[in-house]
Amino acid sequence: LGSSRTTIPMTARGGWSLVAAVAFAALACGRTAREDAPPPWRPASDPSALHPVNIARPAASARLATELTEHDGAPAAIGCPTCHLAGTVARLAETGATPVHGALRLRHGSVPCSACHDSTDPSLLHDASGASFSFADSMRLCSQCHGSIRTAYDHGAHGGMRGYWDLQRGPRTRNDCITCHDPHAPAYPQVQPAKGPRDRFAPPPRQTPSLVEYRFPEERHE
Amino acid sequence: MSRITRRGALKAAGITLGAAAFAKASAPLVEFARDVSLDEFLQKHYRELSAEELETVLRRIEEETLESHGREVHVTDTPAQAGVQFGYALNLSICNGCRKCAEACHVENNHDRKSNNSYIRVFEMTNGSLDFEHGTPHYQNDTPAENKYYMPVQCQQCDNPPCVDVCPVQATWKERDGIVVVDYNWCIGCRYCEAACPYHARRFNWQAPEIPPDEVNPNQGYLSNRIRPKGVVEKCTFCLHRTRVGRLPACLEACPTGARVFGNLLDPNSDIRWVLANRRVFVLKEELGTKPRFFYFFDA
Repeated sequence: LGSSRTTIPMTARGGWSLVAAVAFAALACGRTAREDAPPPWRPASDPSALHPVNIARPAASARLATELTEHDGAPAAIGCPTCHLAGTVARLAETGATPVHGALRLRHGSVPCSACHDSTDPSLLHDASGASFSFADSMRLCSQCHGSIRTAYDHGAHGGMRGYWDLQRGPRTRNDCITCHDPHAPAYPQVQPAKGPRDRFAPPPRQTPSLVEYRFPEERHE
Repeated sequence: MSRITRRGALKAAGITLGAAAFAKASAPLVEFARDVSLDEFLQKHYRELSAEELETVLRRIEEETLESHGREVHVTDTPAQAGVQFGYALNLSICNGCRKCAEACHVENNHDRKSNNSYIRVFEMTNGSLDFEHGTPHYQNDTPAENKYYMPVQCQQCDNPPCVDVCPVQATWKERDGIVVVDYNWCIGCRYCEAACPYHARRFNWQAPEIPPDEVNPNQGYLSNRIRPKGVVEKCTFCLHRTRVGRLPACLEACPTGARVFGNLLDPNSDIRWVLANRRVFVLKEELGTKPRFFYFFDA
């Protein structure tokens, strides 16, 4: 003990933190006595025993919302193969079928339809290597150009999720790319923000009528 | 036969005045007793409660909530788990300022409906600047606006928390998993902590939260989202009633862009650790030495 005193400079602050540490240890002991302390968290020894991360997947067959209506007035959606027989995927501008494609906005750079849609089978997509796959695997397609975003996605730094951070205790559900991004116009649109808190200490600017009633009286401003 | 003497009259007047003054002076105590039950008044500090006492307190709070807010709730107290240190990161490149996080916080944590309180304040900031003086949390325009980015600020769960240092009654402290909590029944409402916090992360309950019964979140934690009494300070707890049972915080689940990353800093395979290792993260007001556990980053 004597030697430790000479080596550790006992400043006032150091002394207090020592006292605090002892006090904290005492309290911590008190706590463990009170509760059935949960076992310490450890990484899962068997990764296959973890709960799954379920990624939302689109329907395997794409249906396009149109400006047409069914006979009962409901909006009509049409499956692509209804019209596009094998080999007829073309640039929309050339088709002129506007009532059908009216809801479809093309704002994805200069990417032509055939870059993603299979030209032989309109119910399939294909990647740059030519391999065809179902619409349900569309994320594979996005990732070949947007690789850095896919990397962030794979590590939870992009894309909404719900569920458990601890997969040892429960599953997680994640959005896929097209849950949020329209593949034909992928830029995330502007949104109307939710109402902000009414803060007593940072009065909102005068021109915000809905919040005016929460302003301090004039004299308190100065 | 008694006679009204001057002395007697003065005595009677004195006694009457004295009694009236006493009644007036003790009126606040009567008021106080109406707000606070005797059990609550005599309750010990959270960390000194035995298991049985804590159980009694939790059940009493459930009863009081049923009485005051008309909703049957379940108040739990999940202890911190060894091997878990919570950390949070936020991707400023994709946050679009929609305030869904603040809204989810409002609902999850049983905030007062009228004040629309939330532990999260989203700032609209100008590109190229980190100056909060020129940011505003009161934007109403559609987001994201041209040349703006959005920075949600909530409790940073500092490892060197100034709010804890200044509390005169130790009603707030840092838990083993890194969450700074408040014992709402021990807080005296002096608001020193609110003044000490450089992130303006604490809120004061000017009145007990008013919430319609069907909107009360019945899943409540003693140290987190149970309905706070009037006159105490409250703060973000990373939703510890959720996160301590493995679930994600409410603000993260509400985020439509996935800008929020939450996890265990001690798990080398966690998302939060990947962000810390692969992104240039920064903390707010690093120069103050508060050592926040809330990190911000931009996409590489």
